[in-house]
Amino acid sequence: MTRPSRVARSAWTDWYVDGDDSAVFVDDQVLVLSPLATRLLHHVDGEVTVASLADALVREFGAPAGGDATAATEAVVGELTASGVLVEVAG
Amino acid sequence: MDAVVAVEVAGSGRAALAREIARVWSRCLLDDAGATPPDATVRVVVDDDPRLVAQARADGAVASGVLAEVMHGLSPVVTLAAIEHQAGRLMMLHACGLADPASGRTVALVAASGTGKTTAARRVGTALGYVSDETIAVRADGTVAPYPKPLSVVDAAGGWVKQQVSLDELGLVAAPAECRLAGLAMLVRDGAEEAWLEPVSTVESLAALAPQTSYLSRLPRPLHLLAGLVEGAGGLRLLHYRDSEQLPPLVAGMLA
Repeated sequence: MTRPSRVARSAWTDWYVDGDDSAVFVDDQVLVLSPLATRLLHHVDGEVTVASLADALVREFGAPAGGDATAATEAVVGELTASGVLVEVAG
Repeated sequence: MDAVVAVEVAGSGRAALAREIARVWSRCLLDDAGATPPDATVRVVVDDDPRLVAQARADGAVASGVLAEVMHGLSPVVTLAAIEHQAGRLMMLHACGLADPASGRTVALVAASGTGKTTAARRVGTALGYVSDETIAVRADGTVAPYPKPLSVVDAAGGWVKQQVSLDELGLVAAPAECRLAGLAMLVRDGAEEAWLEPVSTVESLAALAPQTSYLSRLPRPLHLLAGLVEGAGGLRLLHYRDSEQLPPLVAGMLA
């Protein structure tokens, strides 16, 4: 799985948020997103760096116990990129 | 489904074919047929001449030398024409629908093709109004555009041609003029000894229902529309069951 450093939202069809959960309609399929992925997506406004997303999530949820916030964020971003919800941008 | 589909009948067997279509599709006929401009037109041909049949097929018609084969082919073609006409206008679910004959409150039972819609409609439709066994089309105001097509039933011999059965002959109750979606369930035929209903969250409902819709992406903000429909119907539930005999009380309970 690629580890993009800068991402943006893809041209999805629709995104429905219900509390902590959400579903996104992209590439003709509907994906259910976890609460963490949902929060992350709220922070993707235009083009953003993965490092800034990690900082934003740490501010909201605190640092992961015994883990690396950047690595955890990269993993979620990688999944969202692979499923077409986010797109990697140059820079 | 709020769509007018004209059926042009041709060939040496056209008289018998026209009679059979009028008999079997009786609840879909317009009183003023011919006066209303069609939204789509399909052509059907029954003829003894194989060359004429081949030419008609090449021209896009449903054609055969056998009337039953044309009737079999007509049903999906009419359905597709109506669905294509309503793409981007109505929310269309792959579902059968049963309505309270007095109030018009309607339950939609969602299922993929070949997984129980027709059987459920046939069983429950002797007590509740038959709305459709194929597509439940919901307007923006939550009312349902009925599609009382004939039932397509595999014959006892298991042939590839499904028999088209008149709703009147089966004694299915007619749906009232105005139907409104009041319950939504997805059929899960998993052999449950006691049929039961499992609630599904709105977000999970979107993922479950999306593959059982037609032209969802053509609607504006489709997930928001679908979520509104789900919540307006009291939420999606998975209906676990073994056979259609278990369905009438559960469906009636959803309308209570």
